Amino acid sequence: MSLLKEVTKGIFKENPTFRLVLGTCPTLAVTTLAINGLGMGLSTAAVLIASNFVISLLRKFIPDKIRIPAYIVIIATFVTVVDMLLNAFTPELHSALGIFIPLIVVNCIILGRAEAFASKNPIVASIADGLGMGLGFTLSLTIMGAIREILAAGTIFGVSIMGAGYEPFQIFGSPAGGFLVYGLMMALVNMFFKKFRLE
Amino acid sequence: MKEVLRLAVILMVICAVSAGVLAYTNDVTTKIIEERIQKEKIELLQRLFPAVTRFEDQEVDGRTATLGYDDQDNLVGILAEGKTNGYGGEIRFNLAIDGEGKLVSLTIISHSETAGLGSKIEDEAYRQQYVGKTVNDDFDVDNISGATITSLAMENGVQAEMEAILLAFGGDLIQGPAEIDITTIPDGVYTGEGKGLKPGIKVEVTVEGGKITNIEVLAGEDTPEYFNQAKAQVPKRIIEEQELEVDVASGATFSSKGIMEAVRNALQGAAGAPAERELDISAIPDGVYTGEGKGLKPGIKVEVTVEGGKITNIEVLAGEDTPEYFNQAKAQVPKRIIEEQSVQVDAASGATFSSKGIMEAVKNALQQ
Repeated sequence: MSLLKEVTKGIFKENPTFRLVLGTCPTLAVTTLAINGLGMGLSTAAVLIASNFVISLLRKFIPDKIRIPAYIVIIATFVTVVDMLLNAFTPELHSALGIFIPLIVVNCIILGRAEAFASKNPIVASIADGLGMGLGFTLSLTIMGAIREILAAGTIFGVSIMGAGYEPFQIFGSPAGGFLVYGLMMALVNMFFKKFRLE
Repeated sequence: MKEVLRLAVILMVICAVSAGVLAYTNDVTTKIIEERIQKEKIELLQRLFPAVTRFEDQEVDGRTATLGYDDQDNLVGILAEGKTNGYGGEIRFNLAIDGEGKLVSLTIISHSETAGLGSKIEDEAYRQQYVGKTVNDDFDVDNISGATITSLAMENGVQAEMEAILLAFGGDLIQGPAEIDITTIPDGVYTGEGKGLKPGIKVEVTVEGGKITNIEVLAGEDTPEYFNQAKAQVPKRIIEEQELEVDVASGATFSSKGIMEAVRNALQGAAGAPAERELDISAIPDGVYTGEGKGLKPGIKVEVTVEGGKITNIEVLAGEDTPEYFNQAKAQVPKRIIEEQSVQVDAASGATFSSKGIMEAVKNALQQ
């Protein structure tokens, strides 16, 4: 039960994007298409689960004084591995995500979860936390990507859904549109939490 | 102290393990990535040159290219990378050249030009301007306004790199200039111009008894360091081998080619054709000579007086060209010929044909 809670809290109550407001830079930058959001989210999730696992495993071995450099090395290693794997097996996604893959290293979600959770909790719980946070991040990015893709191009995951007469709002494909969608989404989520007194 | 050491060792262990993991992943993925890049290149090549059935990667002088052949083993396409220095740094681009030496595609790989100005080199409309050009064509395309430096860099860079690529990989694709039979060239001194890295290479070639006996390089704008090497070696080789295509001076390929081109241009047209020889006015006996030339219309007649090895007077007797222009030429050209003691002088502006006609008539008069 508590494990399930660790997973679901990342998706909903402590959603990194909309509730913790972590990792906003990649959120705004890559969510031009639903597929990019999904790809970025899953890549981040993979790194997050792996780094949470290893950091939790080594939490007694890594001395407190050098924990930050140690975490960074571990995270950077996983990110580089993911980068290479994406380049080898999904080149299109790799080129779409571009610079944001290396930037996962400094994504505050990952270091944040390592510091706040994995370094203090047992392995299984840490994996659950990583999975939840990763899925939450993926979900938020995919939703944002989908909204922006529909508005900016009239498609979702590359499939046209708005009909031929649709005039796209190109602003939603630009960074400014990213801020607009992000802001409105966060307002909606906050409204929702207030209304049902989930705070 | 001990504590510091302990921390250092732990961090080192973590780093070492990370390095191991990375090395292994790199090892596994590199091959896949390379294969993929290769496959993409081949697909691209097939799109550009549909006749391609076989590929080959070649390296010449540190430059690599993918060469495509058809089923009869004819070279039908070259895909190679070129670069030039733009406004913000290096611009790298891919050139695809087909079996006729025509550029079929120019794509930009990377650049650091100003966004919104120089970055427009990426635009289809801009790049399309280069498509269809051969290396001998004029590469003067519509510039991107506000990005003159970038535009010029592209024009020069694309042409120079295209030439370099063709020289390196597709010798046969450059339209071979007509063969020149040196033995049929009448004795005389010929001048010609060529283009090295920069235009303006001038040479004077002396032909005697069907042989090139001397080549003077009169001018050239290329970097002296390289140009002088070419100047020292290429004319000597041409004279030794009596060939217009000789080995280039190493490290000075463009200058060497430029000199060869200039020599070729000097002799082109002279071979097998009547001599366009330099007139040695000082050798002409005193007398009054008449000659005819053709301006816009034929029928220009002149009377040239030579005294003491010099042209002292020129009378234009007749001419059918429009008087408005012809009179200008008549007023200026004879005066210039007498001043310069040369039959090749500047034309009267706006009356080029008439001017040339008068010069021709004078030359014909003295050439008898």
